[in-house]
Amino acid sequence: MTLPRGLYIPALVALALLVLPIVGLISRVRWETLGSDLFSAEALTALWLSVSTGAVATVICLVIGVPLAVIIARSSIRTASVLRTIVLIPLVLPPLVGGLALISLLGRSGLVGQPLYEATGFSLPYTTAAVVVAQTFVSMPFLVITLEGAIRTSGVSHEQIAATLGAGRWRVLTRVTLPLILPGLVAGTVLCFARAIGEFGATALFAGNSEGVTRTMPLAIYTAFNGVGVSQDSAVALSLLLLVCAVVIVGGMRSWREDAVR
Amino acid sequence: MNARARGLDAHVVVHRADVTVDVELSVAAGGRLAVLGHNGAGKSTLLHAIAGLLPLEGGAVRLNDVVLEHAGAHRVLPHHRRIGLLDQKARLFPHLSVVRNIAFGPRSQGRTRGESMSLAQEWLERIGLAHRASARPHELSGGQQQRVAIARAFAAEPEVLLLDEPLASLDAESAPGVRRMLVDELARTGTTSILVTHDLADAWQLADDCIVLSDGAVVDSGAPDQLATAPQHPFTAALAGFAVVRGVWHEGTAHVNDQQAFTGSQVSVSSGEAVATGRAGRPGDSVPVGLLSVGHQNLVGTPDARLADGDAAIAVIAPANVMVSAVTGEWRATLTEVSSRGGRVRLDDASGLAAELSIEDARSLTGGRLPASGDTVWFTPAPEHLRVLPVRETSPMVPVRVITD
Repeated sequence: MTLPRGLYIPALVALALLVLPIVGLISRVRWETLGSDLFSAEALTALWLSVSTGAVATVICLVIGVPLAVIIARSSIRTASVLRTIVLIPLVLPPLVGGLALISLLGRSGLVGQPLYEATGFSLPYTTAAVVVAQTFVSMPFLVITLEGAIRTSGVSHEQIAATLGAGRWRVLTRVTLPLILPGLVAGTVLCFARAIGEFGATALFAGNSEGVTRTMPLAIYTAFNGVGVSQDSAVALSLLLLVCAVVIVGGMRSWREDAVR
Repeated sequence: MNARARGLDAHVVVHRADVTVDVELSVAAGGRLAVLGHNGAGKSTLLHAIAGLLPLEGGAVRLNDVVLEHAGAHRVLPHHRRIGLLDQKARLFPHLSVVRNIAFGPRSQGRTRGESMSLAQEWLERIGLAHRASARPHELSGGQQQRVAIARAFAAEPEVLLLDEPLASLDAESAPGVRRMLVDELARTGTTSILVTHDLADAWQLADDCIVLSDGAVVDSGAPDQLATAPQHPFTAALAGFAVVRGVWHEGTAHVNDQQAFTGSQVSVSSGEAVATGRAGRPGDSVPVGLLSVGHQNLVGTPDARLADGDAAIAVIAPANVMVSAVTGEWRATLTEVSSRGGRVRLDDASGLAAELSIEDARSLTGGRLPASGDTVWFTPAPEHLRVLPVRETSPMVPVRVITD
């Protein structure tokens, strides 16, 4: 069916709005110094911090998010709806508000942070651990929602057959349920990691911006444009790196899903 | 529930999707039961409850005299019941190779990996798919997938195998082979089985006994032959190829003043009265009559103690026992469907009445051509073969008076 021509103009505007800023970014890259910009000590520190905290946050999301996703997917419609709403909150919350919420809970005078500080002298904010907590908070919904949809879609028929063949609950979960939703699990994990390494707002407020401790790539890019830390050229180079990561992730997910379908 | 040393005894009460299933059944060890019924009758729900996939709301399930479930009190989980389930879709685990699918059951029950794999390999040889051991399920045809699913179910060595329309999604080419395999394996292993099906032909081959469910309750039961020849429920009758006509039952007395046979065409129902205008029996006799009225036409039956005036009722008759004429008869039929199979032609009327005759007779009926939809012919059901069955829903009572001219 031929589409109305009037659709093409706004669609082109939308596409331009998505693509042109990327073109602008690429145009600012100084290709001749790209290597040295990327491999400057500050840039490498930020890169390593982002990747390591992002990886830890992703592992935490997997350990506690997969069970949550399974439970939501197998709950009654009403319970699932309530739980899904709760999970979605960090996704739609402005990240700065998320950071404020984390401080209110885990800060030195926070709901949990204060007794913890008084008992042990440990304060979470402005530590690398705080970066991980902030990243986990904002990226968990990506994993849980992706996975929950996949589990719900896969249904219970295979699980029921497995049970009648003699498989206990854990065996059904680990040998049937999770392998069946492997494409969803991979997609959710990748999205979760991507969101974690790109996290800025909650980290800035809850973990601060201390080089080598909490200054992840997004914070390093932001700081560079305030004239501190890495050079602006390094910031553009790091941005390019994040962009390449995003393209690889999106492309990789597509080909994985197509493989999974085959 | 009958106490039985070996075999399955179940009284299943489960409410599901607007149907309350309340069924008692008993299958001796090694016995084969078929459960027939229309869509939504509760057949699959019954199987799921027996397998432990749905908790009972009432009743109990007992296998070899061990209580597997007593509603609200005791419940053995599905993986400890030794009750297998084979679905109409193969539902092979797509992430496992064919051989690992079959090994899944033995492995889950604690056999070593080596034992499970060699058992699976034996099964693959038995079903002629040893060369596809490492294939993924999606690389097999539908028939091959179902064979693997059957092997997987048997490899788990269930005491009871529940078969939920296992041939329904197979094409005509692969279904007979899979059916044969099921028959052979059930006989060889002596596994107790319960088959859910829409097809009486499946029941013939895969069951010794049948129950028919409607709205969650058993409405008919017996051996497959018995259901095929003397169905007690319209669904069973339709399954067995009987013509099924729904109408309202009227009873009364016809006073006979001639020796002419009494036929339905001589009776009409008007303003709630059955009026017999013909003559029956010997002069002076009073003949009790029963009529199934459908619109302005009637089928003549014999009075039935289960039926009262005004009851909704159903007449069933094998189409081969309905005579057809182009010029006269008891029932004026406007054909809605003409289908031929195996040298016979079946003519269906909008009311549900049907007749069956040879192709030659069908051609001579309509001047050399085969009858077609829209043609009008006359049906005359053989009264001795017409059976009238009550239905649950009764229509309001209609006072009926039968008079003669």
